[in-house]
Amino acid sequence: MTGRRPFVLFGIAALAVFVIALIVSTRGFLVSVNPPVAGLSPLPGEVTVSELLAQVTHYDGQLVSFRGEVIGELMRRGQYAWMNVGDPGGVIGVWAPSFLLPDITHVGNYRFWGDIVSVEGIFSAACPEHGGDVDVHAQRLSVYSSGVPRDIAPSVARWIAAGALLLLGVVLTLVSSRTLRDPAKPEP
Amino acid sequence: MLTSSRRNTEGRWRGLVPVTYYSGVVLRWVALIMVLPALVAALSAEWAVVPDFLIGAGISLVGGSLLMLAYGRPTERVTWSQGMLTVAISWLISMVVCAVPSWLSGNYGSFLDACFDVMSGFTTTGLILIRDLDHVSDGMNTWRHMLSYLGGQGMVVLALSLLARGFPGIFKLYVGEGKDERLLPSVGRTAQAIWFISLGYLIVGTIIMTAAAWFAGLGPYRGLLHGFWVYMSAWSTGGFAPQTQSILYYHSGFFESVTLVFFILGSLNFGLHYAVWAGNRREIVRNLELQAFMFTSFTLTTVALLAMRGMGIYHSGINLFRKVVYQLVSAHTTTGFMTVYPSQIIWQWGSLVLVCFVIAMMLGGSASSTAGGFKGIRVGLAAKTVLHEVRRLLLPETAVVVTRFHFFRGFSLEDRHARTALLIIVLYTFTFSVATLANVAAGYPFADSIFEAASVTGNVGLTVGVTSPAMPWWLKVLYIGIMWVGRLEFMAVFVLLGYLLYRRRLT
Repeated sequence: MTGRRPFVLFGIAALAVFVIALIVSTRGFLVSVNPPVAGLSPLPGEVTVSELLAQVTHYDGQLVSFRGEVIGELMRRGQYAWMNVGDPGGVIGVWAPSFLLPDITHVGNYRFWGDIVSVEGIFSAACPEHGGDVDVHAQRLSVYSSGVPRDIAPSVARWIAAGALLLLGVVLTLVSSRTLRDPAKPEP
Repeated sequence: MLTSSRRNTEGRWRGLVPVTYYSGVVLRWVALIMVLPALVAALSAEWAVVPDFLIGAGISLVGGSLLMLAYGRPTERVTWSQGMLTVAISWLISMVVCAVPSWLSGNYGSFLDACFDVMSGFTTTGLILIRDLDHVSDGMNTWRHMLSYLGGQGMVVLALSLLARGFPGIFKLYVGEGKDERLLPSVGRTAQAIWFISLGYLIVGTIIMTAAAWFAGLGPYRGLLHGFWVYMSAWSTGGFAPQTQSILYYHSGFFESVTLVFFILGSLNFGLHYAVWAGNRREIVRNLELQAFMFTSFTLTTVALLAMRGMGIYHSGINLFRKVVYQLVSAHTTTGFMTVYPSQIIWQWGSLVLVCFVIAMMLGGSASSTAGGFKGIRVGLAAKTVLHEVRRLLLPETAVVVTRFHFFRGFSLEDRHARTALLIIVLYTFTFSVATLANVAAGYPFADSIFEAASVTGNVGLTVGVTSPAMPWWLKVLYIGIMWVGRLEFMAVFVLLGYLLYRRRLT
């Protein structure tokens, strides 16, 4: 144990450096989780996606209007396409004819807040055409506001911290490989 | 001359040598696995994400090396308690280190939330606290699904079978991670065989899932990523999905069907896979565990279908069958994929269906698989035990009652089989009760509490909304503990607790 004390002390000091580096590298790291769609209030006659999902039976078969962000991919299926539209309270699938979609330029992903669209269509709690899914068959669709880039900037401090940590990790790995000898084989 | 207290201290420290050393080996391996999500992030030009994984890898390398250096290389054979302790501690340390890139992503409200998701991945549970999942980077999604895949395979045994060749105590760690099937005489070879089977499925499965994603309308690159992620999650019965809506996001019956096949395969005993690969296809019919799983799946699905048939929710029998079968099998295999919204299960499907879900989640999948719950073999043994006792009572006292069962080979039912099976069932049931009490104490409705308790205890991942970033912090800690304990099937954690409480020498 005594012979290993320098390693332990060095390890403690190294760990302290790492923690400090980690703290420094995380300053300002919180990614915004307040998308533009969160600031929307329903217009007269509109519902929110959250309300639709909370009361599927109530809205089943009704013509509904709502606004939400297009997220993920536009999944084209012949003359129609699926898109998923949501707000912070939930996401719902919208089945729309392809001719309603050309104005959509941004979908929500890591880089972008997607276009906010206004959708009017028939809500189904268990769509007979689509395997019983909860969905909306769009009759009208328009882009309310275009998507914008998300505020994500690479951090130089993190790259420096990563380099320092990896360098120290490699050094310690080499030191441990040299220091630790193969033991005598254990008795069967 | 050593005093008694110093002698005991020396003994206690000496017992930790293999624990710290091999935990260090596991941490070094964690550094290696962070390379792939960093590569995916680079390919997707997510330059803000890449350093997150490099920082995590650096911490893993440093931490792993320090652990290995702390007490040096072990010279004696690893004991059972040391093996169990290594598994328990490795999982905890790895959870903390693997939470670093998750926390750095900015998608978690706290480091505790990041640890929660990591443990959920490791234990193939699938409950999540991540915020804004639909805007998560490709690198982070790769990382999340990899955690589930690697945790399901048994990351400690993988690390040690690959990085610590000739490790003499690997069987103890293999059992400590909740597996006990020896496919081959050597446990190291068994672990490698499991990985060989899994990697074979990974390649084929990713190709098939990618094709299904393209068929659903995703683009080439996005389809490949989604296919890779969803396959890893399905095979590991983890339940992580790259989007908030889970599998409902794809709106594709074909995609659902493919995931169904893969998560059923993932929930089967690795020994069964090996037996089929080796040509022993009769095992599919004779295996008690598979018989129990088929019986309970069929029974619960039938009850749920009959209960919902009169509700008029789904207008066609095909749609009813598709929704109910998928969700129930997802619950029974402890996968957690969803094709309905959580609120529908609670508010629309009725109490009887809810009970079916709870039972299915508790019963779980197969032993030596990626699934959780009681496990089919224990359910089968419990049933055999009941039948045995009933026969014993019905027959004359002088009659010798022998009950046989087949589980890769023939066995006569003995007290030790019944005791082992019932012990784990009792422990799971106790854990479920604790989780239910905690949920109710936190203010959640009773039905929601029971459902979520079954989900977390069985490492399932279906949720009705209890699991969220707004949960009390102590409930998150409890859930982390329950997921951890359930995945390791209690024994490794009990050894750790025993060591901490009684400070006995590890022998």
